[in-house]
Order: sequence, then structure tokens, then C-alpha cells
Amino acid sequence: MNFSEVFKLSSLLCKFSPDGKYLASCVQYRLVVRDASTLQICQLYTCLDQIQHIEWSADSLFILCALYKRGLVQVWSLEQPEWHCKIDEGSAGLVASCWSPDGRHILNTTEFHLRITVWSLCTKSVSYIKYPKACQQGITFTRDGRYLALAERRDCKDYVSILVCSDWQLLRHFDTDTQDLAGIEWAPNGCVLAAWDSCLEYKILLYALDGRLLSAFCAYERSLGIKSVAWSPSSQFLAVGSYDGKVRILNHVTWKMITEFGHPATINNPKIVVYKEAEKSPPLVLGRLAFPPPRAAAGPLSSMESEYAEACRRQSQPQDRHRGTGLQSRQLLPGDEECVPSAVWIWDIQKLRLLAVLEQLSAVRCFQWDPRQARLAICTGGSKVYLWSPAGCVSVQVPGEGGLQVLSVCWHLSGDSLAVLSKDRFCLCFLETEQGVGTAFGQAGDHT
Amino acid sequence: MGDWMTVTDPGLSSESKYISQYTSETKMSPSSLYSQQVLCSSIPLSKNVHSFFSAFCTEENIEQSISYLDQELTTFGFPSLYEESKGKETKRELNIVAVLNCMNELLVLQRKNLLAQENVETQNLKLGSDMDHLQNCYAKLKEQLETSRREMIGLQERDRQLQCKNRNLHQLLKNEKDEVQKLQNIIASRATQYNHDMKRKEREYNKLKERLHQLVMNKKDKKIAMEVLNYVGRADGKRGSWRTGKTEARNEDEMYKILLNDYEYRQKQILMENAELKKVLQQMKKEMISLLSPQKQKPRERADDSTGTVISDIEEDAGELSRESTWDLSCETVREQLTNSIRKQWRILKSHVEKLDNQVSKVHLEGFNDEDVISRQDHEQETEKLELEIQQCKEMIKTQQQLLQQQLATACDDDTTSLLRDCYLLEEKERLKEEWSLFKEQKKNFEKERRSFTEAAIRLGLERKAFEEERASWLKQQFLNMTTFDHQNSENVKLFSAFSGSSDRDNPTVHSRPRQKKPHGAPSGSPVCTSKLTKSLPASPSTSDFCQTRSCVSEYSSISVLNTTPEESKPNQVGRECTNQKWSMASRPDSQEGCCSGCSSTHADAHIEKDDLP
Repeated sequence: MNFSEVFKLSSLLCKFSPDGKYLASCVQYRLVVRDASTLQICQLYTCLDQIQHIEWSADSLFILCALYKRGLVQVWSLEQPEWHCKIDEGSAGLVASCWSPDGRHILNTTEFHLRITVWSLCTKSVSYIKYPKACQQGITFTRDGRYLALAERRDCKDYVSILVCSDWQLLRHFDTDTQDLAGIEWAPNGCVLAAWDSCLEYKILLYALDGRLLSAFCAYERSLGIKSVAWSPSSQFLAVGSYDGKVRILNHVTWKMITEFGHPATINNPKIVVYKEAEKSPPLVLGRLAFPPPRAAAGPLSSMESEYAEACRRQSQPQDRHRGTGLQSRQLLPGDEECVPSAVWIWDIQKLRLLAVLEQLSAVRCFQWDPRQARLAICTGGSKVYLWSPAGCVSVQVPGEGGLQVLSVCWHLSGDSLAVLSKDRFCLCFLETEQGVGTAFGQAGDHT
Repeated sequence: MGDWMTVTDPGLSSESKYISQYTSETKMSPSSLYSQQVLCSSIPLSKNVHSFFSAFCTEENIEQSISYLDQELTTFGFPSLYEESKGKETKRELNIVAVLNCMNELLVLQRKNLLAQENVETQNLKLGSDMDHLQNCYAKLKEQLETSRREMIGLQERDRQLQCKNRNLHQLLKNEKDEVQKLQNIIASRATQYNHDMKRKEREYNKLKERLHQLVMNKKDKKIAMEVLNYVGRADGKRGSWRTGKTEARNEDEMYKILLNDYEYRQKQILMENAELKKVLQQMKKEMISLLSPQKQKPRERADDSTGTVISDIEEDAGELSRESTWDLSCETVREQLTNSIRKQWRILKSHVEKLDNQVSKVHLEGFNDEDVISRQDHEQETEKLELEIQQCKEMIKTQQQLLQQQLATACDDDTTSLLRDCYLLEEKERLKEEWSLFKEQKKNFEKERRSFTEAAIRLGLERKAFEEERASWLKQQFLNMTTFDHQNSENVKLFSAFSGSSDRDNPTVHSRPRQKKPHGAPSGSPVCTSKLTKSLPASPSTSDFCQTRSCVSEYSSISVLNTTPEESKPNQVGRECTNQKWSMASRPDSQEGCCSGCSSTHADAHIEKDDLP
């Protein structure tokens, strides 16, 4: 495992291009585009103000930089450095900006969700979409980029509009049987739309592309409901995490629950591997962490239990952070439980059982699946990056003066490299072949 | 009493009063009366004692008192104290006998009465104690009743309290329910209010938004604009198309196409899955049929109808299998058939497996104990054996080691020594061979001898048996002769005596013993019969041997007869019983010696037989 030199960064804005060739990062008002492998600066763009959001177009030709404070969006072309485009939302303000899947349109959401403006880079035409709903996840595109589903609110009722992305024509418009729609999400195959109610009620609705209600699922009533929803890459499963501390998996044939994963406070099953981060007594060894196997002896077990007890105490404290149940890999589903913020739970979907639990010393800030294989990168705001794979668990100390407080991680498309982001700096971590993972660096911790 | 009073003399009024007093006392306490009566009757008669009671009879009023007593006694049914008067003029004499009788009877009566009194008293005591007991019981029961009453009252009180409590709780529950209802109503009203408010707010918000929108959008905000250096081409390189009805239709078409594709894909997947599952089912079925078919015979023997039909089904299914494989379409009937048949077979398999399990468990349970014990014994034996072997092996190893060491020690001139050793060995070998052959010959001889011995022994045994038979028959006959026909007997005796001259061997010892042992036998006992018997004997040896034995038997029989006859012939004529006794007596002394010897010899023979026969 090799680390690149450390570069400056602001507001955690660092993204690989969709084709994997480039890496865009922001430093205040400057946008830096580097070659993803050599890290040579390819382009350098200067925006009018501090950049608050960047996004690559799907064809990796353009980069969108949103300057929300000024209600501006600046677009840069990678092929033509002299080409520029500036969109001003004026007094309407700007709260969100994103690319359409074709990479030629920009969707800007104005302040107060008054409307969504669709700007085209090809023609002068401007489209407006009225009544967008201000919610957690109100816009979603299908994977193939054909359709856009949009949550709307009119006359105190929730609606979903399905638009064709090629000409922004309305295809379907239907009301959803929700009190307060919280989010919508397309299945990866683009044929099923999941819509869920706000946390006051547990309700998830599944609609076909043509607006038919396929199924509705409600696990319980009169309690806080859904926290997060995630599709499996094969569209076969829908994972629904809720406030009762459980993840429910629905199948795509009957849309009924297959199984339910809890987050038990104590794990008795000897098949489940529990990785527990522990500071080793000699602090001289840089970042060397041991993950004692949980089944070893009575000593570590008791300490583990105390850890769990602590976690349970934390549960009582109000947790503001929201964590999604990421379901990147088909077989593996990690759920990061809010009540145990320092633990990551990994379930095996093939066997429908808990596979591993990673217990960190501090709360998990971010985790992301390797796009190619069953490998999970986790960061906790410390100076280490944790990598989990079914073979074991590794912790890596990120080099850098004063230590890099890793707040976020970002995988390269190929899974060969990983961008490690801190508040003001970032570096790239090049992962070697699988065998090299454990032994690449001296810092690599023991794994079981 | 009144009568009695009238009868009494006026002069004796005082006494009578006394007596009346006494008699009246009798009612109260009979014991005192009796004692006093006795006193009254006895004391004046014996002597005149100046006591308080002596007033009854004094010197003067003897006559009167006697008459009074007589009267009294007669009234009580006793005979008169006076003698029978012969004449009226003659004064009636006191009959002492009668008086004594009366007294005696009175005494007896008194004793009886005393006894009765005692009984009555004891009964009275008993009854009194019973009474006490019953009174105690009564008191106790009363107490119990009281306590139970109290308890009952307490329980009633508690019941009442509990009921009260229950009522209160019910009331509370009702109140709580009401409260809950109220709260629910409140919640519902609040919810509706909240929703209403929310809607109102949202409407307001929407209005405001609308206003804002109008304000922001209608101002013709110059700022809202896009500055582009030059428009870029579309990603697909095409020009944007106009929005028309056509495009809408096209969009719809595309959407449905996508949906259709998805459904087709899913259908295909499901079909594939179905096909695979069907394949698995078919395979399972085949395997089940093949597994179950060898067991067809067993259930049929059991004549179990259900299984029989099921098995016939299996056969049908087996027949259908080939056809079914062609029906790959998911026809419902086929599916049902398949699943049904598999279910049936599965049931059979399950029952079979369960049966097997039961059997196995039974066998295991049964066999466990016995086998356990046996195995333990075996185990011990085996271990002992093995230990022995190990010891032997160790010894062997030791000796080998010693030899090796010796060899090593003496290995200085190995060539010559080895040669010499070889020579010695050869010599030794030859010598051993010779010895071996000698030994073998000896062994052969021994075996021959042994065989001959055994043969002889067998023969001896057989002879002995035959002889015994013969003698038994002879004895029977003898006995019969003795008991029934003297003439015949005499004739026989004569006949035997005629034979006596031909006998040259003499061993009465062998026969004497069994002769005593077998006094009874079959009623018909002629020499012909005996021969028959010998013939019918289960003879183990071959026919030639048999012939031999027969001849032997005949010999022996004649011998036995001859041996006995000289002694018996004479006394037979005198008397049966005497002769019998005499004969037995006579035979005994000379037999004693020989008996022992014979016994020992026979025993030895028997031993030999036993050894050699198997």
C-alpha cells in the first residue's frame, strides 16, 4: 500500500472522474484536475468564489462547480480549457445543482424549492419544473439515464413525476399514498421506484415505471420509521433500515420481507467474527493496531461486553447523524448502526446472516465499498484507514505531518486506489494486489 | 307390695315397715337391700344377736317370723318352709331341708344379682366414660364450629373487602379506560388539528412560495442567465428534436419496451429456475424410485393396502417417467402429478427411514447391554493376551539383544566360527531328522496301540451292556416264574440245570449286583423274549460287531442262568419267599468281593469308552 504526497483540499471536495482518468479536487476557489494515476495537474480552473460542490458529467468531459452562496454554477470543459459556462440563478438563489445523466443539462434547485431549472448546454432552451418537494432525496435518475423521478408536493399531497431525460417531457405523474414523502430511489434496473415516507411512519411503496403501485410494505406502526433505503446492485433486494435498529430485506418478486437483521448487543454466534480495534500498549509503533479475535479468551470478551454496554449508553443520547445502509456489493450489506456509532455490521446476503462486526475506537465517519470486490474502506476521523474484506481486516496509518484526520474516503473506479480526505488535505492511497494488502506497509495491522 | 302388706301380721308392722323401707330401698339401690336382707335372714337364724336388726326375730317370735318368711318365700315362688301337713290338727313342722334349699337358692340368686350388679356397674362406668368422651367431643366440636364460624365470618369479610377492592379496581380501570379514551380522542383531535394546521401552514407556505415565485420570476431578472462561450453538441451527436405528440408516443413506447424487457427477463429467469427445479424434482423422483423399488417385496408381504397401492403408483410413475420427461411444458396436471408422486414417495421414504431408525435404535438398545458385558470380558482377555504377547516379545528382544551382543563380542574370527557353526548345524540337523523319524514311528505305534485299546474297550462296554440286558431279562423271568407258575419254573429250572454242565466259565460277581437292583420287570420274561430284547437294543457298532455281541449275549445269558440255578433250584421247591430271601442272601456274600472288582472294572471300561468314543 503506497500513499501519494499530501495535497491541499477544501470542504472535502475531491472526486474521481467517472471514466477513472482524472481526479478533481478543490482548494478554496480553485479547481484542480489531476491525472488519477500520476497525479500530475492536468488543468487548473479558477472560479469566482469558494466552491461548495463539484460534480463530474457522466462522460467525464465537464465539471460542474456550484457556488451556492452566490447562486452561481460554473462549468468547465476538460477538452477545451478555454471553454467556460456560468449559470446565474439570480435572486432565486441556489441550493442544489446536479448534472443530468447525458452530461448536457444541469438541474438547479432554487432556494425554498421553488422550482428546478434545467439548463441545457446544447441549446438555449431552459426548462422549469415546478413544485419540487424539499426532502431528503427528491431527485433520482435511472442508471441508464433515461428517466428522472421527482418528488413533488402540491396541495398538501405527495406526487411523483417521471420525466424523460432526453427532452424533459413528463411521462407519468401520480400521487403517492404517503403522509410526507421522504425519498425516492430507482432500482438499478430502472424499472421499480421505491418511495418511502418520513420517519414518522414506517411505509415503503414500490412503483413500476408506468406508475402502478406494485407493493407497499409496513413493518410496524406507531413508531419512528424508515431511516434509510438501499437497493442491491442486482435490483433483487431492497434493504430498509429503520429506527428500531433493524435492517429488513425485501425481495423483488413478492416484495415481502426475506429476513430481518438486528443489531444485537451481544454476539454469541461463534461464526461471526468481531473485529475490535484496540490501542496497543507500546505507542511507539506507528499506528499498529491489533484486532484480537473475539473468540480468544475470557479477557477480551469481557472487555468487549463493556464496550457494548458503553455503546448502549450512547444509544440513549440523541444521535443527529444519519447513516445509510450501503449496499454496494451484492452479497454483502454493511449497516452502520446509529445506536452503535463505532461499529460497522456486515451481513452476508447469500447466507442471510451476520458475517462480521467491526468495532472501532471512535465513531465511524464514512465507509464505502470497493466498486470491484468485497472490500470496505472505513474511516473514523482518526489518522487511520480501515479496510475490511472477508479475508480479514487491516488498519493503515495514513502518513502526513501531524497526521491526517481522515473524514472521508473515495474509491477509484478500478478499486486500485483510494482517495483519503481530511478537512484540509487529501492523499491517494494506492492499493496493490490482494496479497500485498496485508504486508505492503509496516503499518498494516494484524488481521485474523 | 300392697298384697304383701296385707299378708303381714299386724304385730310385725314395725318389721314390715322396715322391710318395706328396705324394699323401697331396693328400687333405689338393690345392693343394700340384698345385703340387709341377707343380714336379716341369716343373723336371726344363726343366733340371737342383739343388734339393731335383731328386732326382726327374737326368742319370742320365732314362729311368727318363720311363718312370715314362709309367706314371703312362697310369694316369691319358693317352696314352703313347712312340711306337708298330714293332718289339720297337727302343727306344721319346719322343714329344715326346704329352709336350707331356700337359703341356698337365695344365696345363688344373690350371687347372681351381685354379678349382674357388677356388670351393670361396669357398664354404668363405661357409659359414664362414654358420656364424658362424648361430652368432650361435643365440646370440641362446638369449639370447632365456633372457630369455623369465625373463620367463615373472616373469609366473608375478606371476600367482601376483595369485592370492594375489585369494584374499586373496576372503577379505576373504567376511569383509566375513560382516560385513555379521552387521551386518544385528544391525540386524535390534536392530530387532526395538527394536520389541519399543517395543511393550512403549507397552503400559506405555498401561497408565499407562489408569491415569491411570481416576484422573483416576473421581475425579468436579468441576472438569471447563462453565459456560455459556445453551445456544445449533444452527447449522442444528434440535434435536439421538437416536442410533438409523436415524441410523447415514442416515449410511451420506449417506456413500455423497457418494462416489457424487464418482465421478459424476469420471466426467463423464472422459467430457467423452474426448469432447474423441475429437473431436480425429476432426478429426485428417479432416485427415490430406484431406492424404493428393491423394497417392493417386503411391504407386499405385509399385505399393507396403502403401501401396496402407493407402490403400484410408483410403478406407474416409473412407467410415466419417460413420458413425463417429454412433457417439459409447465402443464398444471403434469405439475400436480409430479408433486403428488414425489410427495407420496417422500412419505414412503420417510416412513421407511423412520422404521429403520427405530430398528437401529432398538437393536442398539438391545445389543448394547449384552455386547457391552461380553465386549468387556473379551476386552480384558484380549488385553491379557496382548500383554502376555508383549512380554514374550520383550523377552525375545532381550534374548536377541543378548545374542547380538555375544555375537558382537565373539565376532573377531567370524569366518571360521561361522563355518564351524554351519558344520555343527548340519550334523545337528541330520541327527534331528533321524530322531524325528524315530519319534514319528513311535508315535504311529502308539496310535495303533491306542486304537486297538479303544476298540477293545468299546467291545468290552458293549458286551457289558448286552450282558446286563440279558441278566435283567433273566431276572424278570425268574421273578415271574417264582410268582406265577411253579410248574413252569420247575421245568425251566430243570431245563437250565440241564444246561449247567456245559458252562465252563465262572464269574458270578458281575451279575450279583444288578440282580439286587432289578427286582421288578416286565411280566412276560421268557428266554425268547430276552433274545428279542437284545436284538432290539440300540447297537452302535457295525453289523459284524452286533453279531458278535449277540453271540456274546447268548453266552452270557446262559452263563448267568447257570450260575444262579444251582443255588436256587433247591429252595424253590420249599417256598418262594424263603427261597428268594435265601437266594439273595446267599448270592450276596460271594458277590461282595467280585462286585467291587467288577464295579471298578466296569468303571474303568466306562472311562475308556468315554475317552475313545468321541
